This record gives sequence, C-alpha cells and structure tokens, in this order.
Amino acid sequence: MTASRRLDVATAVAAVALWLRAAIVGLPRLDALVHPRALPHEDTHAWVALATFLIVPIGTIVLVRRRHGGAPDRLAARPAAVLGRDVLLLLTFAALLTPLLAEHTTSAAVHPSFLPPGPGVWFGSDETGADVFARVLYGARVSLGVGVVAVGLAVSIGGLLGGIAGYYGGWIDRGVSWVIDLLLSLPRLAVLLLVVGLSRPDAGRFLVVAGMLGFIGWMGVARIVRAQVLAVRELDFVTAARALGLPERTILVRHVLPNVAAPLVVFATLAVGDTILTESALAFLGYGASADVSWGSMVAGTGISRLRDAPWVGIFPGLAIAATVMACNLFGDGLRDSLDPRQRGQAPPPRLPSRDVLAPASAVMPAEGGGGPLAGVAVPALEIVDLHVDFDTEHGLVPAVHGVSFSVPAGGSLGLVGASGSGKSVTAMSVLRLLPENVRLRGTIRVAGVDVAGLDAAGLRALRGGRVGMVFQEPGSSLNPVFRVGAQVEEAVRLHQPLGAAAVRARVEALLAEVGLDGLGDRFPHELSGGQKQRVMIAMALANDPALLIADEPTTALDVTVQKQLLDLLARLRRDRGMALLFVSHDLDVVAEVADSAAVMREGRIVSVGPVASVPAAGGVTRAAPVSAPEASALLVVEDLHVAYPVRSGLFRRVTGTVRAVDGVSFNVRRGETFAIVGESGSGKSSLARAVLGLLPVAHGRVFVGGVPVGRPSTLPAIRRRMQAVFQDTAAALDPRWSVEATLREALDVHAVGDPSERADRVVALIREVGLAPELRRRLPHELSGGQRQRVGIARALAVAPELLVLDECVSSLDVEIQAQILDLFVGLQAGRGLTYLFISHDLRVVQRLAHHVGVMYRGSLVECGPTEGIFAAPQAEYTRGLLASVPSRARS
Amino acid sequence: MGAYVLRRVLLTIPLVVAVAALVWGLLQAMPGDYCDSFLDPELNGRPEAVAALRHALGCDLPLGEQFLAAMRSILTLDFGVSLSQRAPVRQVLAAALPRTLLLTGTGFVLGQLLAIPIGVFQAARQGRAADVGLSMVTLAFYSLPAFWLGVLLQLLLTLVWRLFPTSGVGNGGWDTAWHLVLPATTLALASAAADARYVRGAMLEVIRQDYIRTARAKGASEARVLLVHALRNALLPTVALFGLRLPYLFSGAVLVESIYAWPGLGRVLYAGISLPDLPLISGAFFLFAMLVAAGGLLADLATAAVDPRVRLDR
Repeated sequence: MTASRRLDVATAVAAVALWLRAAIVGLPRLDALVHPRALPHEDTHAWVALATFLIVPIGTIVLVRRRHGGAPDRLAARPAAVLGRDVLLLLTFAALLTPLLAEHTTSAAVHPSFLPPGPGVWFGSDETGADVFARVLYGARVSLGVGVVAVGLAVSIGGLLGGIAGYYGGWIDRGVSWVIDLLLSLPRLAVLLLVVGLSRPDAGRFLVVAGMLGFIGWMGVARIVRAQVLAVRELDFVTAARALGLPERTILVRHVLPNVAAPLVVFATLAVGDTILTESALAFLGYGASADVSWGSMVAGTGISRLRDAPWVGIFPGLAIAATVMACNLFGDGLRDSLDPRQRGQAPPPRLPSRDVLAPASAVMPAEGGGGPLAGVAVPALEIVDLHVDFDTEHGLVPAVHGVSFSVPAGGSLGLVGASGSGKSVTAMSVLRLLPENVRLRGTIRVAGVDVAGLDAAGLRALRGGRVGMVFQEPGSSLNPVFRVGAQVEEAVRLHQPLGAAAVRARVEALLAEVGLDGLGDRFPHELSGGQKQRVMIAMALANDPALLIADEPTTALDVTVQKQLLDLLARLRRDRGMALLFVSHDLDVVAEVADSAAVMREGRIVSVGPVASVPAAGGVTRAAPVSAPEASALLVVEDLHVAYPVRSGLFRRVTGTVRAVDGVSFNVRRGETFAIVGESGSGKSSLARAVLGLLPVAHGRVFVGGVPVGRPSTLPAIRRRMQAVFQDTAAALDPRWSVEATLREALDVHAVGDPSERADRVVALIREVGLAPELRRRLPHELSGGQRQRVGIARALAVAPELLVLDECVSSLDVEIQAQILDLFVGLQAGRGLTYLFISHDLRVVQRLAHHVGVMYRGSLVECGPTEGIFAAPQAEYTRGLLASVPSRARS
Repeated sequence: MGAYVLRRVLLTIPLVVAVAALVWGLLQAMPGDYCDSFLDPELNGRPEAVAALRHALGCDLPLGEQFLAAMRSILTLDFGVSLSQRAPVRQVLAAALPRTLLLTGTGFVLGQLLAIPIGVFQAARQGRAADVGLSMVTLAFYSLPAFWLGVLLQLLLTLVWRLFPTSGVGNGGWDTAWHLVLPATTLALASAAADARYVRGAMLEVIRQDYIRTARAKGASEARVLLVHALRNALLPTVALFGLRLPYLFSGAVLVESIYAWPGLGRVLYAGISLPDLPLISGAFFLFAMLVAAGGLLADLATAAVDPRVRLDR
C-alpha cells in the first residue's frame, strides 16, 4: 500500500467515524420529529441522524436494483407494486411537510367539538375540537418513523446474528436458533405491553417503543438471513472462491451477503407494514409511541358510544393505517416477485430457424418392431402427424416443436433422441396433453386410432393412465411424498377399473411383484431408493394394461447399474405384454438398449429416423483420444486418505459413529496425465475430490501436490496456485451477480497475477483461451448458456496458472454435443499447458475418452486402479465388471 | 416416532425455565421496587409493618435467592395474591383461561374454515379474475388493523343495527355463544387473510411439483388432483406454521378481549399492567407464553403425525 493510499484510507475512516458520531448524538433528538413541531434547522446532529436513516434503506434498494440489472423494469410491469411504492413516497413527503400541508395545528379547540367533515375541516373534528386531518398527518410521522427505526434495528441485529449463525454453524448456530425459538414463543403484544406499560416512559417514548419493536422483530430477519446464508454457503461458487484461496471473511462479504440482500429488502418492506400495525395496536391500548397524536390512539378515541355519533373521528385514522400498511405490502410483494430468481433474467428463448433442417417431416416408421401378440395389427399404437407446439409467452409465440410426424406400431418401440431443448419431451407430453396452459398445439395425435384432440375431459382421463401409461424423469419427485406407494398404485387401478377391495389389493400386489417390489407397498416414497421409486412409477403406468407406455428420460437420474436393471425390466415388460413403447432420452446408447427404431430431434424437428443401429450418434461426437502420457514424476500423491462424517443419533444427537466416505485411498497422478476416479453416487468420489482440494477435513492420510502437503495453513497459498477446481453445476458455480470479467478479475487479484494494469488483457486472453468471444466478458452468468458458463469456470481455474485441475463431474450436466466440445477443450489445454487432471465422473464413456489412468471407487475404497485400456479391456474386480456390463452395449462396441 | 416425541417434549423444558427467568428479569428491570407492588397500599405510613411484610415476602434476601424463590413459585404456578382482584392469582387465571381458549379456539377454527377454501380456490384459478380479485380482498384484510375491524364491527352490528350484544361474556350456554359471535369473527377475519395468502402460496408451490403431473398422468380428475394430492401436501407446512402463528393469535386476543370486554387472559394482563399488579402480570404473562409453547409443541407433533418424512432422525 502506498503512502497516499494509506492517507486516503485514514481519511475515509475518520469521516465515517465523525458521521457515525453525529448520527448517534442526533438519534435521541429525532424524538422531535414525531412531535407536532418541525425539526429545528440548527440541529445538525438530528439532521445527520435523519439522513442516515433515509440513506441506509434507499442505498440498499439502489444497490439491489443496480446489481439485479432489469429489476426496476420488472417492477414497473407491476402496477400494484408501483402504486404501493408511490403511496409510500407520498406519505413520506406528507409526513415531512406536514406543517405546510395542514392548515391547523394538532392542538385542541381549533374547532367546535365533533364538527363533521367539510371544507377546511376535511376529516372533521374530535371531542376536544382538534382537527382530525392535521392529527392524521402528524400521525404519519409517528407511524412511518416507528416503522423505519424499528425495522432498521431489527435488520441490523437479525442480519448480524443470522449471518453469523448461518455461516459459522455449529454451536453458535444452535445457540442463536434456540434464542430465536425462545423469543418467537413469546406473545409479542404482551411483551410490548409489559415493557412499555410498566416502564411508563415520558421522555423518549418514541425510542422506547420503536426500540422494543425492533428488538422483538429481529428474529424473523435472523431466520431469513440464516436460511439464505446456509443455502448460498453450499453453492459451488462459494466453494470455488474457497478453492481460489479467498479468506472466509472476504467470501462472506463479497459472495454470500450480497446474495442474501434481495430477500432481506423484501422482508424489511413487509416488516415496516407489520410494525406499523403493531404500534397502532399498542397505541390503541394506550401505550403507543407518541403521547400526543397517534393513529391507534385516535381510533380508541373517546369510546364506542361516541364513535356512533362521530364516526369520522375513528374511521380516518383507521383508513390511514390500512392504506399505509397495504402500500407496504403491495410494494413488498411486487419487490419479491420482481427479485424472484425464478423469474429473473429469463431471456426470451431463441426463435427456431425457419429453414428446413434435414429430413422431410413426414417420416412414418416402418412397422418392423415388436414381436408381441399385437404385432401386425394395422392401427398403430401412436401416430403423430405434423405436430406443432408453441409456447404462448410474454415475448410472443415461441415454437418448441415444428412439424413432427412419426408413428409407433402396436407392440413396437421407438426411441426419441435429442439434446435438451430439442422438443422431445414436449412431443411426448403432448400425447397426454400434460403441457402447461400456455401451450398451443396443432397437428394430429392418434392413440390406437383415437384422435386425442377430440377428447373431452372424461375421455382424456380414460386415456391418461388407461390406454397410455407414462413414466417421468425424476423418480425422487414424481411420487406423492405423503402417500404409501401401494396406495398410489392402488389409485391408478381404482381410477380406471371398478373392482372390489380384495380384487384391487390382489391387482396391486401383482403389479408390485411384476416390477420386483414384492411386499414394499406399505413403504413411503422416501423409504425407497431412486431405482425402486422408478419401479413404482412403472407399476403405476402398467396398472391398466396400457397399449402404449411413454417413458420420458426414465433412467437419466439414476446410477448406471440401476439404469441397466430398469432398462432390462422395461424391455422384458414390453416383450411379455406386447405393449408399444415410446422412449425419450438424450442418450442414443440408452435408447438402443430398449428400442428397435430411433428418431433424432433437433430444434423442434426430426432430423433423422430409422432402425437404431443406422442412426448416427448425436452431433457426431469426436472421440477425443487422450494424448499418450509422458513418463514423468508424480505431481499429485494421495497416501492412505480417510474422510469420515460424524453420525448423530439418539435423544441428545450425540456423535454415535462415523460414515467412512473415503476409506484408505492411495494413488499417484503423474505430471501431464489425466487420472479418472469413476464411481456411482455415494461411492465417496466427491468427498475424495474435496479432500484433495483441502476443502474437507482429512481424518487420516496425506495429500501432496508437487511435494507440498495439502491441508496446512502455511502451505495453503502455494497449494491454491498449483491446484484449482471445476465443478458440475454450471448454474451454481458462478456468483449470479458477478460478470464474467469480475469473476476472472477476482481470481487474478487474489493471487496478484501480473501487474494490475495488464490484468484486463489477461482476462481477455483467458476468455479467448477457453474458446469464448471477448464480447461475452460483460455478461452475467444467467445470460450465458450452460456450456459457456462451464468455459468461464474453466477460465477462472486457469487464471492462476495451476498445474493440476480437479474436475468434479464437470461435464455431467451438459448435453452430449457440448460435453464433447468441453472434453476437446480439456484435451487441447492439456497439450498446450501441460496440465494434469484429476477427473471425477460417474460416466464410463467420458472417462474412456479422456483418461490415461482410471481408479474405480466403490464404498469409499479404490477397488481397481490402472491404465484405461487395461481396465476397460480386462477388468479384474467383480464390481468393475458389473459396472462395465451396465454401460449400454452400443457404446462399448 | 416415540423418540421424536420424547425429544421434542424434553426440548420444551429449558424453554419453560427460560421463559420463567425472562418474566422475573423483565419485572425486575422495570422501574419501581418489585416487592413494593406486592404490598397493600393501606400499609403506607407504617414502616415497621412494611418491613415485616417485606421480610415475610423474602424481599430482603440477596437477589440470587430472590431469583431462586421466584423461579420456584413461577414454575409451581404459585404466583401469589392479586391485590387488585383480592384473590389468589391462580384462581383469577383459572377463571380467565377457559374464556381465552374458547375465544381463540373458535376464532382459529373459523379463520381456517375461511382461509383454506379461499386459498385453494385461488390457487385453482391462478392468474384469473377471481384470483386477482380475492388477492386484493385478502391483502386489504391483511393490512387492516384488527382493532379497527373490531371497533367497526361493534359499531355497526351492536350500536347501529342492534343484532349482537356489545360486550361481555354472557350467562353461559347459548347466551355465551351469542356473545362470542362478534369477538370470534373479528379474530377470524384478522387471521384468515394471512392464512389464505399462505395457503394459496403453498398450493401454488405444490401444484408445480412433479407428483402433481404424475397424478394427472394417472387419469385423476382436476378436483381429485387439487383436493387429494395437492392440498394434503400444501397443508403440511401450514400445520407447522400454526405454531409460529399462535403468538399473533394471542396478540389478537388481547385486542379483541379489550374491545368486547371479554374477561379472558388478555384483559387480565392488560388490567394488571395499567394498575400495575405485578403478581397478576407475571402469572398472566407466563401462562400466555406457556400456551404458545404448548401450541408450538402440538404443531410439531401434529406435523410429525401427518408427514411421514419427519422421523426420529430428523
């Protein structure tokens, strides 16, 4: 730090200190604000305090709006929210400018008693002859003041405690959570009555009430902040920041807290309304923030019997409360909707090119599939002719399917293959008309000769689950969590067959037995594995002997061995039942296991169709054959590594045992080669990756990178420069608020790579190196595609010029074509920079393309380890043989 | 499940002790001598009698021992004698408690009967005119001060149109039920708006889930999808939320009891504070907090009973 910079910092600190002092000194004098007299002009401290209270919320809002890019536009699209905001602004100005607006003071006897509303006496007068209009205006000062001060206090206390509890966890978290639970279990109004009523403050009553309201309201803030911090803390971009070597405090301030701010602003807005309501209730009971005028005490006024004769005395202040609180709620709801990440940054989906892509759209399948009893029947099980599907969005009609035609013969099978967004799932869903309401369908869909478009609601219900059964992608979320799986299968039977109770039960048992789930009917979904849940879905789909089964990516979420079992089951069921099958998948190799024919979709059209063996692999994937590894020294050495998680159980959640996620793993990775760790979910491969990166505590064993031990604070900076990581979830791996440039710049700054002036050029060079256009550097992550985001993630890892990259399932969530491109990039980078990779994956096919050496992981141990060709050609361990046998046979050939 | 219940019940014990300590601490922190309020004002001017009484009450003991004595008496529900009511606090509370439970219980049930159908109906009609209109109505009621609503109802229905009695608890049986109508309706309207908004949000969240699509793919009717598959899941968080909403319900009871002169706990507390009558306050306050704690406990146990995913290991 240069001397002049140090001086700047000192000046800034001094200025902030002076400002804080003025604000604190002026705080008690704000009391003057709520009394029916203006703030004295000469009281600078009070003005500073007032300005502070105004600057903090406004600054936060401005900051959030700036960081959120288009948020104001989306707010402007919500007239109710704009109305709420404008009413609040109007009220604030009215409260500040009261002496100019009100013709009368709030004192008694400016009018006769109970004068009805009229010209000059807009809201009438009360029993003392005071002007109700003036008192309502002055009351706004009390209510708004209390709301802002109390919420400011609540946000300060709650934000701090919630942030600490969420970020640090452990006993701090448990302690804070317990105090929150304790304070939340107190009746709010009773506590306020007790404190305000018994302390009977005469001076500073405003601050006592506002302070108590803030103190009683911080728990809600703390809960939100804690939950939000807990969620953000686990995201990959925080892990990436840690892997970059950022200090914890910097991560909290730069990456975690800004992502918590948005829900906090929403909560604070709503809390202002809530606080105003509570204060008015207190005032109604006689313990409000102001002894002079307050909306609540005006309603209580002179009692119910006199209110009958002069209702205006109570009605106008009540309306004022309702209007203010409603404005807060409208504004808060609008803010929440416009800041909702689910609605954020959804650029309009690209319109499909109108040119014809490849094949003519009217490819009718040859009826060569199927050997069941129904084979040869003329009417196909499913026939789709010239199907168009458009989504009616706010950006106009967005086409998803563009003139698709195909048919599945009775008892036959067809695989519908394509990348995500190709329209294959939309096509499958339109058969049962399971698409959202904003979808426009054109074309003909016939199931066993019946036109689906002509069906009424009852006919559609008979079709769904009756003649057509359907299985979906996510077994984890496709079953209703609160019903036993047997009951869910039973419902499918009952909805279509009028059977007696005993017959239904027998049918359910038979169905469960058919899919290999004998006696598991009284389990709840969460008590079953993913594969078992998908079997329940299949049993449900088969309940009424459908002529056609539609399976939409049914095995994508499952491990490869489980996938193999399910594909075998589907193939067997189709054979035994002579049922037609429409199998939707992104993976042609998987389709080849169950379907005779395949149709490949791209951009809403069918681009090729025919027997499965003749269809080319999607996108013509280049097999990026690994460059033969040089004979070199070991860069990464892992010695007898153990990682264990504590298991808590029993009454007092004591640690009763450990799960050994990584159980004695040793291997070496030579400089310039790719070492792959393969395993199914739960095998411990991700724990291994994190332990190697030094992000998980190691129970036993050692890790060296270039001879430097990992896991010691002293070696950490050196390790961080040598070893970086790329993660799986591209949506979570980049901070959603940071541009590409800012993300890369941070990585360069942390390790002071190069001169500050040349870092901008380095950012551009990095972006180019990973194959992106430099113009993309100002984009935010949500404005990039998944593949582009992953390239940014790679650029961030490369920024510090590491020798070793840990790639944790980093192509798993990408489409096949993008996957191939990223793998090519890895191969190129390895050749160019001499990089070493530790590649973690569940996908044997990807591993085969990239790795020189493979380690197979199973239940925390390496069961086999060796050169890739050796392992794939002649696996030694039984587990490896099973794993390799599960790979779709087409991919093996 | 059994272990979960036991664990949850055991976790309530430190909460009860902490609330008792908080009550004592709050009263100690207030201006004026805590002990003096136990004394009969007629003793003024007789210092030796005051001193004797202070000794008898244990007010001359060190603070630590006073604390232990206070904790003992609070936790055994022995709050002493109320000076304003000239009766043991326990007796006063025992009379008021059933009335408050009757009022809040009726208000809660009425509120749910309003809120759940409105929320479900809105979710089924999401984005259409009926939903938008009802959203504005619930938002308006959500923004209304409960006491103002109470005062307006009272004004209209008891003074302008003399349909209901103005205040009081009546003489038991149907008369009490008749007196209950307005206070319970006020309480119900005040809480139903928030609950309807919540049910609508929960339903919309659930309707987006994959298992709703599964139910449709089975051939279930739209009514069955909403009422069987969606509602059951949407109500799970509502049950859990009930524990969190109890404090608001009792806050509402304090207001409503004060408007309609309903002699329940809220009124006892309010009267105690305006006097002030410290033994009465500490008793009423502790009882309020215990009611809330008991409600939270019940809500958690009910959630565990209806949600198969909550098990002893959670």
